Amino acid sequence: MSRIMDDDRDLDGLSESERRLADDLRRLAPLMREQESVEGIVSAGFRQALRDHLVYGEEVAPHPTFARALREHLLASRPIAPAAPLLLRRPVWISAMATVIAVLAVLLVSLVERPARPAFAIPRTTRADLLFNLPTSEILVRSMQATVSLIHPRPASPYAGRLSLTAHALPLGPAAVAAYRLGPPPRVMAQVHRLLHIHAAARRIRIDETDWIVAQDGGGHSGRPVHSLAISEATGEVIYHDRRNFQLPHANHPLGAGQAVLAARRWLTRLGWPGRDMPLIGISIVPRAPLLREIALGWRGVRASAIPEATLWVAPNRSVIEAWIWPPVASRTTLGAIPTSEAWDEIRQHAVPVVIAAIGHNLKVPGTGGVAHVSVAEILVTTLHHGAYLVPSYRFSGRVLLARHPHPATWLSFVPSTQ
Amino acid sequence: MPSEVLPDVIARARRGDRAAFGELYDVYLPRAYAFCRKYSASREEAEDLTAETFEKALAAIDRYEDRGLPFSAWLLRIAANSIIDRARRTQASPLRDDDLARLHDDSFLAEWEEAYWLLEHLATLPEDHQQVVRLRFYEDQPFTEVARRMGRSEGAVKQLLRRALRLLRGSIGGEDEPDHG
Repeated sequence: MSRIMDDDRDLDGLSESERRLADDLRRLAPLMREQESVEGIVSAGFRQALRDHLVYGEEVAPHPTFARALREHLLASRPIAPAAPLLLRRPVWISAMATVIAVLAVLLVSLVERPARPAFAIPRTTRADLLFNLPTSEILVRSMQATVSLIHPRPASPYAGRLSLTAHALPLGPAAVAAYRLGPPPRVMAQVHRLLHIHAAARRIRIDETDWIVAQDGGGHSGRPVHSLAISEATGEVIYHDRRNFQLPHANHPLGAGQAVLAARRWLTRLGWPGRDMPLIGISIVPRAPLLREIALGWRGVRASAIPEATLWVAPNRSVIEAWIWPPVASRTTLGAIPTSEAWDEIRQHAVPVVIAAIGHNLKVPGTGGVAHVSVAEILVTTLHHGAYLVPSYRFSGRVLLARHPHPATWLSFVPSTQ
Repeated sequence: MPSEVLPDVIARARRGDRAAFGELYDVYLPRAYAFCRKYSASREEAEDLTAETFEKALAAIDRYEDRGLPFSAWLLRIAANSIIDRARRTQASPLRDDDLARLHDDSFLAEWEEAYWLLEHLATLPEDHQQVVRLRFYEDQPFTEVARRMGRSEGAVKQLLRRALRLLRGSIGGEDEPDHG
């Protein structure tokens, strides 16, 4: 100690606070050494599971303590292979991690610096696709059809009035973006009786050039509540209705958020989706149905999407009474991106639709506003013969003041971001 | 940069905002886990203790009061109590007497927290800056030895240490306290 203190006198030119910092480092060095020797890296699985448990009240997996106690109990009577000593295990662990990090780094560099040749061609995004991805106003559906989702019954309506929008200092945007191709229609229909207790035989119907496979109990003149599953053969879109549990006479509270998420995940897993791993992106109460929870789950590995992979309504008795689902991602590719300024030109020139939240469909008054936020999100683009895709787009949003309206409203628009 | 939380996040978490508690979790999980790992026989045991710590914190956060005690110190106190309770309960991994004394001592927890905080900032410095700090303060080496091991002159090493301290001071930021919670 004294040797170092004497030696430090030679270290001139330090400020008072820097000298105090040197003293702190000297004082805390033993503890810092201890901390560095602790194998303190938290596993990603544990981190996420505990976070979901704490934040969403989710029991995605059994509580770690319970799981461990159960495992110990189950293994107690069996010989357990002794774990390798820590000092032996650590180099293996470190080298495995180093390999993984190196591979990821190489992949990342190659993706960022040089967008590879796309693994597949993405379809052209139409105005209808853009409107499909924009939020719809609350819509009352009067007659239930197997192929119309109550969650997303129709595309958004573009704002019909003239908007004058401005943007200052737009961000440049990424050099490359990811696009995804979704998998084929799920093979649920063959097991619809076992999985969902729908007894009717599946039949094929054609609506607007699209073939759907539909199985439906009840509805029409039967006097029984509708219970149906419809799958689009073109895109893999899945629509489920179950009116059997819509009115629950003894229920007066919605299911707890955590339990509703768990019920949604279990239902999806039973149908063959990776329900446990799909990121939770929203929990809300269904408008006009205060006893129903709406749970939205995204695609695994996709950062942000305009439409969730699965949206489900969960009743107080844990049953799923409405679902709107898309197939999981089958492949991914990387593409070069246009700058945000180029995308902004599309909005300025009215080449893409703009919607305004919570505004009547017939409003046409002019308005002025600006861009408040720009981000990248995947929009869902469907084709008649080649399935569905997630196409990267810029999501522009901001506030707009409409003539004769005292309060500003929120506007929103998507512009495809690929070159 | 090492993460820290703003007081309003703690205030929101106290009012029952789970998303705000999620922010606290993101910031404090690594240090809580490292603390639990230090006093656990296995990674599994450390995970159990960490989960128990955050569950207790979530249940009690509405009673947390900032009386000069940083949030992280409050969290480490919960973790320390969980470690002590578990050792009593299971007898599976008994604590040594000196560890038990440390876990009861709030000043030790404050020092642990301060050391972790410094370590996080140190990790943001360039590699050679970290090395000179480690040789000088961790290993308690005189400048002549630091210079020999780094293959530089004594003057160059002193200059490097000055720069390292200046950068570290800048990273920490003025006269800040070690924790904003």
